[in-house]
Amino acid sequence: MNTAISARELTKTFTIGTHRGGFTALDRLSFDVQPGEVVGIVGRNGAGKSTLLKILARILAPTSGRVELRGRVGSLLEVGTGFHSDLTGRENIFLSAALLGMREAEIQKRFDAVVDFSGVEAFLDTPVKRYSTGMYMRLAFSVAAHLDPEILLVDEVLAVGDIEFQRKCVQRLDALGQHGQTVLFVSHNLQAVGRLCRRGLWVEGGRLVRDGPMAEVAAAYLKQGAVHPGWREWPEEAGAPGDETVRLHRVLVRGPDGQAAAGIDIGRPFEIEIEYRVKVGGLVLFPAVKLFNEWGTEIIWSTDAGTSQHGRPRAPGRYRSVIRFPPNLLAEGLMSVAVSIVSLRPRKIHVAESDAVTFQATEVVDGSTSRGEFPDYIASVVRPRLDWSVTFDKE
Amino acid sequence: MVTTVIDASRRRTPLRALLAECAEFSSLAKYLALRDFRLRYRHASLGALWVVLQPLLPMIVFTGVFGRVLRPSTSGVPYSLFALAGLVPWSFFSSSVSRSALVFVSSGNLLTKVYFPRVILPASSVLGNILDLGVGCLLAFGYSIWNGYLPTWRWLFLPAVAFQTMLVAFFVSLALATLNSLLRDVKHAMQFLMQLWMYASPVAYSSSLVPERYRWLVGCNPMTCVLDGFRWSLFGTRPDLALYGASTASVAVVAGAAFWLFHRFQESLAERV
Repeated sequence: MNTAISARELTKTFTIGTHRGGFTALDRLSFDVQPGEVVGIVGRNGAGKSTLLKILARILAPTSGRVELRGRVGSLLEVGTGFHSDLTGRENIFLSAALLGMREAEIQKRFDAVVDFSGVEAFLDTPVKRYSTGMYMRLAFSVAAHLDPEILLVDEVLAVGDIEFQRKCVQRLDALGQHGQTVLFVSHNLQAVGRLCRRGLWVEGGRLVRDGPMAEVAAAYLKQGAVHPGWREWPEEAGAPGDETVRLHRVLVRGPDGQAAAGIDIGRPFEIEIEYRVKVGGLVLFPAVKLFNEWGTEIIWSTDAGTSQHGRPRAPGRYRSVIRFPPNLLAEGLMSVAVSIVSLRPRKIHVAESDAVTFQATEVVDGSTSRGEFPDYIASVVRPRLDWSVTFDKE
Repeated sequence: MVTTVIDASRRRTPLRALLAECAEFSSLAKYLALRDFRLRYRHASLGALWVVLQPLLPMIVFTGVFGRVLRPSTSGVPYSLFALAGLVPWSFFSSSVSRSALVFVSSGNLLTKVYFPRVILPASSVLGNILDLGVGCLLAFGYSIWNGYLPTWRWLFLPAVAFQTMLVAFFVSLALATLNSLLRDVKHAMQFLMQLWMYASPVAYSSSLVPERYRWLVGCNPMTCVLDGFRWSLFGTRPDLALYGASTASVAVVAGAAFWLFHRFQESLAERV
């Protein structure tokens, strides 16, 4: 049997600004995919997953290497490709479907099915800017779901929308795989990837690290990401993030009991501690901590404002900062902590360690968190417990 | 079964494959053109009336300024009619090119998310103005009759000249849109460029009035043959054949340059917008 996708020595280098050389996003990547296989691609942000998908979709051209794709290729890199807010639902269906590679006859044949699936029949001749986000998403996904290529490339489509919408997406992708289509699926949502895909590719630094059954690849990927869950130390100065001026020594997440923790309860306070060593004094340094959720969204940026050291030239020595997080701030999910230390005038980044540590934020549903007794999925990225007051007048 | 080969060492796609691909995406060109057309007039209170006003308003200005004050020779054609015959193709050309020259950058969200033959973007953008051109031609027919120029066999050639106008607009747009993806200066220079180009083209005056010293410039202008063709078709003013030939040749040069430029840079468009 012929392979559906065969990639050989794929390399992609981006030139950044006027720099020569540039950044290698893909480094001699080779793999084969058989027809009907549903393959999940996992890897950290910037590992090259999206670049790979864009090359297969012919959006980017590879710097070197070769790919053969046997069958019609369709790509879904976002929900609502080509949608224009001033056009009506009907007009957007035709435009978006044509952009995704459908021919006019095909679109006309599937138009009713698309409308049925989306459930926005009554608003077909209303500009989509008047749609609710949910309606917009349903219509956009409905168009994409009726694409019927032999090879489908999907990126992060599941990262948006409510739980109901995500369920629909997963069902549809599942159905595609069962009908013999080849699907290549990139997502940060390891659960979704794991559910859908039998085979996994783990890409790191533009190279293929592991290729095998999805469960094995996912386990290996998680294990690697959890080498220092909630705690990381660089005992050797040479290997530590930083430069001649300042080096990072330790980053850790601490639960309410004062112990380093790989998981925290969002209803309780926790701390992040960073330890760094200033070797050259006299610079005003701004140490900062950022929190990213599993979609790569930056949720929090914080520096040591208000402390005695803030905004003043630092003397050489060892510094330890503790950042206290109040309860009811984060949502659930896998959090990644990034640490940076910069100086201004001239602006210089001394330390920039993304994914310094990771921790799992979980919620104990006991009525004490912001959700109260509400049992459903909440999509917001922060979960502060706000002060509500209620007045009630009996009728 | 369709097989797609992406090979970094073989950059050139055969012409036949390119054409087949464009044919496959022809419905996309249609829907993009429709989108542009709909969006253009949807929120204007005068709506599609602008299609008529676009060549008509400058005609009134031109007649007032050039017709009354400068009185250029028009081989006996009333100046307002003469100006309209120039302004119909010109306003199509200038509004198409001003819009389409920005199309790669303004459609960056499409270029980075989905594949289609990139040439479709400027093509559909020019195509989105086709109704303006059609209405303009009808306007020119009507105004000719009103001035006593009755239909002749030459009128049958007007659609061909109109098609030629679209081709010129497409070639120029393709070149400028590619340039704009490399250097955003094109966007800023656009308005000035179109104004300068208009005065350098025989829109308000006849190409036969150009002094000997500047005739080469008019010959290098791909719009000269379009404008002369329009007037010949409507009221039979014979163009200078040498000038007409030179201008037609310049269309071929512009087309060649546009395709070369586009072909050279099209693969990296998604990285530059």
